[in-house]
Amino acid sequence: MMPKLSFLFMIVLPLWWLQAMPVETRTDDPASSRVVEADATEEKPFVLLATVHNYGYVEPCG
Amino acid sequence: MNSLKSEGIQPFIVDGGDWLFHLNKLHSNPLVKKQMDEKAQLLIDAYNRFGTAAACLGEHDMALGLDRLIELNEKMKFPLLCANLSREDGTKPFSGSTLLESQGRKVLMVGAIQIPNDRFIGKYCPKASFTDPVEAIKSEIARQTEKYDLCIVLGHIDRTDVDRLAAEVPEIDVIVEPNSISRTETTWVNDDIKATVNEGCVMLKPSGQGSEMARADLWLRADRQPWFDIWNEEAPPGSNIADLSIAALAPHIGRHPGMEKIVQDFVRSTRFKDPGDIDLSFKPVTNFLGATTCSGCHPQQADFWKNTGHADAYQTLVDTGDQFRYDCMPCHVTGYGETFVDAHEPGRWKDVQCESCHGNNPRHPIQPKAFPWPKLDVNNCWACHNPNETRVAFDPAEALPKVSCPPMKRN
Repeated sequence: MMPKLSFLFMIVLPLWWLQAMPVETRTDDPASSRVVEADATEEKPFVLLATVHNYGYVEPCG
Repeated sequence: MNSLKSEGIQPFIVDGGDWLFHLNKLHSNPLVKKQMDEKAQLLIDAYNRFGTAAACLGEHDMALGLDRLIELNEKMKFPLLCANLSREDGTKPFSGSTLLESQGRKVLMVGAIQIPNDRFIGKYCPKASFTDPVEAIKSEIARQTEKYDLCIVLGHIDRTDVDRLAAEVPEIDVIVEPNSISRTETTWVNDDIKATVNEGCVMLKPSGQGSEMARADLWLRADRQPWFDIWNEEAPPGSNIADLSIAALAPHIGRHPGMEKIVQDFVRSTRFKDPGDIDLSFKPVTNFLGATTCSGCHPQQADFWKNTGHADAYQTLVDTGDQFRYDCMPCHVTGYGETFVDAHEPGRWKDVQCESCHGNNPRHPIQPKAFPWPKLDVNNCWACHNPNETRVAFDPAEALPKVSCPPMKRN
């Protein structure tokens, strides 16, 4: 039988660490790896919103 | 925009033109002209309230004539840009470019319009002359002596000209394109060209006549260097990164109560009356009851609902990590934009609850017989189950039995 301390260090603590790790530092996909890069330098993006060609939206009659 | 504000972001808002009028016919009817004029004033007021940074001139914006547009321009609290339009005496009625400051960055904005045909010029702006828009944009950028961080072009021009600018002018960071129906492309464009990076230049081309909005989150690391899409694995470290998305402004997004009041006041009179300073900050409406309230008297229906996909709608967002996306949220919660606006705090409005399909009837719990719920309108389904957005076919006849609550026992 596995001693209790070994069980704690080998199974429980790694699992706890994986669970507790902040989402932003996980690198399981390309997008999140970019988040790491952006956060590391404390940059903020310039946010641009754009619309085009809306012709002065016309409400449907009735 | 309130959602962004709730996250501490004050976005830089631009429009690529053709935002004031619909130029479908020649509009000889003076009553129609009068209403177009009144509505244009409402739109200008709305754009002012949005905090629009700049807009480009489009052909449709001259539907009441260039002279009237110049008068209306006085009411705009933002520049209407057009670098290649001149009057008879050689003067330019609109600025070709402007330098603005936003989010700690200096932004050079440049705008130009494609040259209209002779018939159009003769009808709407007979005393105006137009030069080549690409050369006009190049010239505006070249003569800019002040330093700027970003250069955004509002190119109300043809697609081929947009591509030329991206390839030939490295100073340009972003081009907001119109949808040229008369030349190379139609108004409704394919998803793959709505928000892209081309020749290191960010291209934004939301389609749908204002039913979509492009969002660009721009991580500027190096001046005058190419942009890379956030998904591009080959982007060198330290390069400029653009995270691009298209948000649908479809009916499933709740209307802003303050703006809705302004619009309804206009609809009732069809005359624009300046509403003056009114508070447009977000305040949740109180006419939503929530599923918990309904379940008090309708436990059988509530139990049925809990086993439908509607009761699991928010969890599906969590499962894919999309629970903070304001463009996904409206169809996975109840009353987004009306009951709450901060995507991080949906509170008790998670999931597609009773009122998403049945509508609002806040007095029903107090006087159920006096305020019965109207018959459910199957058209409500299409607001979210829109195959154009979901890419999933939808047949109400097949879907309704899965979500229709068991009938109530009447006394």
